[in-house]
Amino acid sequence: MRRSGKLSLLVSLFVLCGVLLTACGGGSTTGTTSGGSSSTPAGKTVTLVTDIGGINDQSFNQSAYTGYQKAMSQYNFKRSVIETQSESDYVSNLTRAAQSSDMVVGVGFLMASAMDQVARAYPTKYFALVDSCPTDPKDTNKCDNLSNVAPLSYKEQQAGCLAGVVAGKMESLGKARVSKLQGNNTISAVGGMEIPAVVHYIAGYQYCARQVDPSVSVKINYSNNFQDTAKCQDIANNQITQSKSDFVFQVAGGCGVGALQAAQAKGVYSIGVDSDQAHVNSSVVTSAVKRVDTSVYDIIKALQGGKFTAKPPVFDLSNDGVGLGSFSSAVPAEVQPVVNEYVKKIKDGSLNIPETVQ
Amino acid sequence: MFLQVLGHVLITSDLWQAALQFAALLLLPALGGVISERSGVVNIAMEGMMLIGAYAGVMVAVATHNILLGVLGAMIAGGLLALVHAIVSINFMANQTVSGIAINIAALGLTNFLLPIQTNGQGITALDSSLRLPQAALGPLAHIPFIGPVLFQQNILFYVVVLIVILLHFLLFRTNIGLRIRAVGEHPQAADTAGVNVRLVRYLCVVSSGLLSGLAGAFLSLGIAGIFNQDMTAGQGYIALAAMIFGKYTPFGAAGACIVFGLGEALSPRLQDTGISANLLSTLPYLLTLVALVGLVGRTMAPAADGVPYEPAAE
Repeated sequence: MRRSGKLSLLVSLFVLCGVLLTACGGGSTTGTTSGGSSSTPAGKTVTLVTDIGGINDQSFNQSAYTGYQKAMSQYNFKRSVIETQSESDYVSNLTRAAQSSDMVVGVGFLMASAMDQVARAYPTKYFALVDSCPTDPKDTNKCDNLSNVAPLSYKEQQAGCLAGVVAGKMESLGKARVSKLQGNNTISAVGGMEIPAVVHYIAGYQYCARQVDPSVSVKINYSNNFQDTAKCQDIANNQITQSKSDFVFQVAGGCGVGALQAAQAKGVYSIGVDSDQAHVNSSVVTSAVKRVDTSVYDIIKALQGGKFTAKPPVFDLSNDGVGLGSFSSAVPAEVQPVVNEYVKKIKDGSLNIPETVQ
Repeated sequence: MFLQVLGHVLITSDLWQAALQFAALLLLPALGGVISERSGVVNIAMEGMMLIGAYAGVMVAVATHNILLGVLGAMIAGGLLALVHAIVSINFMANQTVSGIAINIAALGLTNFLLPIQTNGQGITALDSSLRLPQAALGPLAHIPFIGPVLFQQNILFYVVVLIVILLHFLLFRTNIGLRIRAVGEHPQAADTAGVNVRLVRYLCVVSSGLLSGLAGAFLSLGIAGIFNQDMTAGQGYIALAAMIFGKYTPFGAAGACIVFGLGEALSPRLQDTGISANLLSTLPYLLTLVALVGLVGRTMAPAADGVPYEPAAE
């Protein structure tokens, strides 16, 4: 046992290293208050608590971080970001954030009941939650209306609808104009989990694709995962080869990147999600975009101006909260006018898109 | 209805092709685990070594424009991380489970930290097809109905994995080296007395587990996905750990276990048409495991000195 002192020291150091590296990934301890000129007083402090994907997930966490950064440089508060590593850490991460700052922005539907618990424990602090309202732990289907929590919600079905319009229109144009169609008039979606934000996207996609091309069939699968790239790749492969899907709409974050890659490898089209994913590969014809960055920025701005509200507007097409990313060159010119027509119909309320898959 | 769909799905080559690909991917880290634990070092760090391998593979391949160097880079990265585990658990006799957990957390943190730096926060773009491990159809064999697509139209690394399983079985159970490895894992004092360098054998075995896990990372990022994503291993290193135990610490046993897991993983999305909840279906691989554990495998015995640091008697 003579070694045990040295030994335990080494192990502790080693574990510490691991934890520090993880923390560094989030940079949660590195304050980067820029400027610091005496004329602008530091604003109210805000901590961002991300979901498991982390701030470089090329999806909603990253988008939330973009909005956070914009607010940070605008209102000159100290950077404070906690990247969640495991679902069991939601409560402790949110608590830590609430203790250290004036406002906590949580990212993700999955922390809805943890947010409820922490917001009740810290009634003097402000909270905002991307993708959900806080929910009662006993009944997670019910919103708990707390005066210090702003739920940031989006009409994903509108973005999904426009993606469906693009796919449906391209299907109806046929092989003469859209070269990679397999001829089975089928499109598909790979969802991460059957949670509201994901289902909204897919419901809109399905509904509007059928509006544009009533004969199109829509194949939908779920990976039950937002990280496992190989899994979504397999699901998309299956949709493309077995169901002859021509368009794969990924709604599964990092996992879904595998679906985009499968479309590329099999020579069909794909549609990205949350942010513009055109850079991933050339199979991506467009992306269904949700401006999480705008909503996060807006709610921090409201806080800094003393105008925090627990009932912020729902983010949709009319306030640029959702939309479509850029079109690739594979999209024929005929598509844009149809998209414009649907944008108009959605904005004037004449098109009612369902929130659930039919 | 369910049985009808199940029956239909089970006879498609598409299912088995996917199942075997998942199995091969899991098998590499599982074999890494087998070799490390056979020598008496508990290794639960395959997840981290796989992730760092996936990352290093892409980065090296992109930087050098050479796919082979990418694969080599992935293996070296996995090996280096394993070397850390070896030093900590063999020389410093630290708790091997704690060291393994630390490595997994460190690998996740390190890749999350490095990725945005190297890509200016943009996230990585898909690899050019010249920088990907290709799918390889094995000549006329690939055209055999059913068997062809399942066994002979796989990624090039699939065939490498098949070779490795056979070689590792041969090495462990038919050669002198294998005998020494097993002796070190079962009874290090006896092996030491017989003139085997216990620490050296353990070092080599742990580093080999890192090389194999790193190769699995390359299989994932350079082969299957063609891109690196944060946390893209998504816990597969842990499943491999289960496969190793489930396979009774033997290469062929682990292979069988990985096929069961792979089948479960490939089946679950394909059965969603039956109307059964996707959430429920995602438990399928684990249910299959439980059934197999209880029904087929029975009691598993770890090597006797597994996880026990070896301290030579003082001279």
